Amino acid sequence: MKLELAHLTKRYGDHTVLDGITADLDFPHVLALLGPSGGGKSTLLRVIGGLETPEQGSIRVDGQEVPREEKPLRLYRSQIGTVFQSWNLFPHMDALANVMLPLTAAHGLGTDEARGRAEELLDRLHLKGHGSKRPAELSGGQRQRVAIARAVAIRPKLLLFDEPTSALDPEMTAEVLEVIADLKAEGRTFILVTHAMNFARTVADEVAFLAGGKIIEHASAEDFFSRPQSEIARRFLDRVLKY
Amino acid sequence: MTRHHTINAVISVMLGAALLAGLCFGVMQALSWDWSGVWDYRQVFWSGWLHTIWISLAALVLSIALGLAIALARRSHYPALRWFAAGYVEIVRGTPLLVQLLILFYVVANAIGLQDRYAAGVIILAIFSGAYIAEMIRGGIESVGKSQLESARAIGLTRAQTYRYVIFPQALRNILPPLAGQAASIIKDSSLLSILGIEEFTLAAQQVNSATYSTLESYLPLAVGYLALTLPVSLLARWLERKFRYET
Repeated sequence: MKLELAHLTKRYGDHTVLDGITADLDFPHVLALLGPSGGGKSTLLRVIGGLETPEQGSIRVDGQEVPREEKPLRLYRSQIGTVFQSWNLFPHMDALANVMLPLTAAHGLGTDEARGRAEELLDRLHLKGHGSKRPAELSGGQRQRVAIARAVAIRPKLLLFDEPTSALDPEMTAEVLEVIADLKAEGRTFILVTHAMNFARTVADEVAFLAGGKIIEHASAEDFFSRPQSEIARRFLDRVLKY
Repeated sequence: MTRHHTINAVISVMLGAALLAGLCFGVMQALSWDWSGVWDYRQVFWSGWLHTIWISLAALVLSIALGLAIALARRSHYPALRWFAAGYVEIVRGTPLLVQLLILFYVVANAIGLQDRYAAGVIILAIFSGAYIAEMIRGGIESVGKSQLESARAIGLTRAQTYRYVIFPQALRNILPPLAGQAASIIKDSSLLSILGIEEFTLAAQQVNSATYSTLESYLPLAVGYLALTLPVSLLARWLERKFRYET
């Protein structure tokens, strides 16, 4: 997958979150966005996902420019699977209906086909028997797996994970990370924002390190973790890998 | 818990009714009491009461449709629509129903040639109630979290689909309890339509009173008749409130 960012700028009021990012990111399957909090990782992910529109600059995903008008942007978003930190499931629907909704509403699948696909995915994510439960009846790890099922069900060309385990305890974190590692093994393409450094190291092909709204460096995961080039990345890794 | 509440509610209602009955009994003792005149006019009461029911129902249905349209207009992309909706809500909520009845009936309905006073009464009542319902619906919609809207956007739902699948089902639990309360308000407010000569329950009682000169015997059934309508609706509102509170 090829991601071309050109002069990407995003501001919230006076605060510049993305500060004119220009970079060509080429990765076979998995890109990890790492860096300190407030460095712009999540915002960059949301811009890539078409959930935020940048003030300036452009993004190309595999050569296709991310649109700016609402209608083509909606089509673009419907082809990308996004998993949020706090799962953002629909609380009034059971797990199965949550996974089915994008299929029937945005992708025009019939109910039977959507149900078949959703049930198969829930089984694969070890959620057999939980399909008729509402999010409130599921554990955090189960909810996040339902959210992953919802994102994967549409057969997206790109998956985005925005700190998928930050709201989970260690055991649930493990069950969600396992699922994400399985997705890589299946050959899916995704971009991941995470604080789980060891996981990023094992699962990512490529790492982009963001701080202060800029991509400070990007390299293969192996190179980044063993030989970080910038002082700020070195200090960051020292701090987060210490414990 | 629920059962306990129900028992409490029943006891409270019975106590209230007993108090009212006691009060009435006291007054009865003081007055000379004669139901015979009023009894002859029971058909007038009955038909007025039925009129009140269908006027209230029609106004409720109409005002829900109006309230929904206004609530959506307040969230529209078009500033003109938003201003219109906001202006409507403020004007209606800022003036008494009686004043609206006088102006809309004697000025507006006259000017546009709306002759049917029942239709006019229902429409005016719906315009009044619609402003309150619009605010309830708007509040319900705004109670749906931002992350839900973001999710809907992320999976590629259109605006209409977002309302249908995500916002309305969740907003409904916040809208239904106050809406049931508003239904009770409409029933009570419909009594003001009597000043337009609409033969609903209150006007019926007034007619019986002027025909029989037995004031208390005319107006006491009036209060009881309204209570018979509003009490079940209020209990429904209370029940909805509890039901949805426990579910979250």
